[in-house]
Amino acid sequence: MTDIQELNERIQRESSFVDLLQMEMSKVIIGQKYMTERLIIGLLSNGHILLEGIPGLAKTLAIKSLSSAIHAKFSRIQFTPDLLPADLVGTMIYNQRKEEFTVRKGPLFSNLILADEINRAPAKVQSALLEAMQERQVTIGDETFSLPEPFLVLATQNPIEQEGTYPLPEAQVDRFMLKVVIGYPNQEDERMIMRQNIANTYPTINPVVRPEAILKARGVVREVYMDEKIEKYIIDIVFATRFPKEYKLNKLTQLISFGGSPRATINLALAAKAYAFVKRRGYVIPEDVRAICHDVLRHRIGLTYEAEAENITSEEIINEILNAIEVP
Amino acid sequence: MNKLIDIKLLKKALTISSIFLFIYVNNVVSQNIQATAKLDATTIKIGDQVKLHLTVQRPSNIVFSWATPPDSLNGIEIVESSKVDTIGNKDSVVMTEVQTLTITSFDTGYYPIPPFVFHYKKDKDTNDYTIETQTLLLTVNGIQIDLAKDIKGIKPPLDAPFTFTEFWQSNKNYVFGGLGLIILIAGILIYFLRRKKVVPIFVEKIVKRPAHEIALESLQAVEKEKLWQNGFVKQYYSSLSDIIRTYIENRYNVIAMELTTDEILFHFNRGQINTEAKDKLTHLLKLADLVKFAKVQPLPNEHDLCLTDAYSFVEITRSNEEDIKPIEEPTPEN
Repeated sequence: MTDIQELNERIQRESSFVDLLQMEMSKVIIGQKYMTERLIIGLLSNGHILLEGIPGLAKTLAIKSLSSAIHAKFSRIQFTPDLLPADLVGTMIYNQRKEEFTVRKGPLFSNLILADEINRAPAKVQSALLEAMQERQVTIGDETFSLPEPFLVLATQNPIEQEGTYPLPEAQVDRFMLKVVIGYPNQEDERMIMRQNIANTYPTINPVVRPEAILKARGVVREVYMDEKIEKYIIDIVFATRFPKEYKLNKLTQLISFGGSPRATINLALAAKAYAFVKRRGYVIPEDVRAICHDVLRHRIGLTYEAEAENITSEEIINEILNAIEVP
Repeated sequence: MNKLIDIKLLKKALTISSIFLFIYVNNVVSQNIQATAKLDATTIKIGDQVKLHLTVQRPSNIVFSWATPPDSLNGIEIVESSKVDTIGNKDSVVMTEVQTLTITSFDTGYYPIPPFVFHYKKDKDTNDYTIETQTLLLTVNGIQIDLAKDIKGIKPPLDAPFTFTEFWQSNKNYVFGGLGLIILIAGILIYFLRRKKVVPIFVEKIVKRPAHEIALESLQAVEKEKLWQNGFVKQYYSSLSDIIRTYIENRYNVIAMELTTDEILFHFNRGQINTEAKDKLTHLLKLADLVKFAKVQPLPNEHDLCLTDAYSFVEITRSNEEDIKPIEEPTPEN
């Protein structure tokens, strides 16, 4: 038995919870399979997710459903302009009886964090959250606390209503592994949503996965085999965002102000492995890379004024790149 | 004694007569120079223009300098000054010089025009002499307004028609420039049109080779290389996959080299190829993917089967010979 076959069998065993998770979530979330799949990929590859979509597309509900399906501590933080970093990380409170300061941990000490409308909070609060996301630890007073594992931040932001918002800086957006853009459901799904809401019957989501299973699955995801050819393919895609001319994409030179960072390469590889795991494969194929490429790169490509003036989006740039890079 | 008295009387008489002679000669020269100023009208309406004529009559043998008129004269504005016109020449005994000033005033009242002072030097005399015109008085009247009448609206600006002369004066440089440019362009065009075209004697015929021909040749080359027999299984499957994808690209104008296996197979869902060809393509590409990305080691008979599938796919989907037309391209000029 080859190592890949062995890995495939392990994946079959370890990934059984993926179906259970999807089934539980589908009780509440109708359609939006794409979003559900990306949430699971984030969970498996230990990457934070930024969900973007207009109001009413079940972004918050999807994250709440995911947390309900996992035996894990969940916190929801509604970001507002008057929020303070201490409201997230916690603070020191003076205990008069003991005559000492005691730590009161904030909502960030949970497994799953829903940062709702992250762009409504000022920069210092965003920084506090994003620092915790990166370091996976928080310092209160002079004491440092590790955040629980798994620790996953799922943030939402609204692309419309830009008034009174604080757009996330490029450096901070880069900390999110995936940026998932949610679209409208199709007609059939919309009918189902309508019927379910009118009937006023909301199914209960049962916890089906323990955090330990997720941590174990994360270990398997990292073992998913990635051939050198796939590695080269990933590097070619990221390099094409930085130096389009070298890939005969001269027309993109004027449209890209900055390309993907090395974090983009790492995240694209990890997400492709997680995608292969979800598809019950012990190896990555070019389809996996292409399937997840938009979600990893769309927030990591800076557009120039020329691109914005011509209404060219990062999606179109990624499409151009994928159509120009030779598949191994 | 009487003689002495006579001599004294004679000296006195000579002195007195010399003085009279000097006065007489001086008067004669002065009387020959005359400076006059004359107005066409001594009373004008406010804003009206009137001409002031300055005339000097003088002997031609004196050094004379004309008075430079100032820009304004006690509330009177000098609109225009004509050149000094001379009547007579150096040979004439008397010369007349004339200058006409156009003056106006924009305020009512009485304006004295001060005398114009001219300087001159007489022949063989270093003294500086002056002569001046008389003072004139210009009366500027306002316009009588009948307060009993209605107030009228402001008149529109007067229409000043744009004449060809004005156009020509302001644009003649552009007209000449444009004409010059047209002539230059026409010249260049004529030069190039009259140049004889170099017609190549021998035309190289470049025949675009059919996609299947290239693919079959490449497959034969891979077969000869005996890659899998020498342990290069991954390279063998990569070559087969690349040859077939290049063939699809040339044969069907699909960017197959930039598409994944699923995308290529999806492309053929619309019935461009028959089921047999699609099955062979699916088997070949899927197995090649497994070898390339999942370290799968197929059995030797599968290696041969894949090569056979590749040959069969090309043979089934090859285009007819008559569809392929050679493309003629001229030999590039030296």
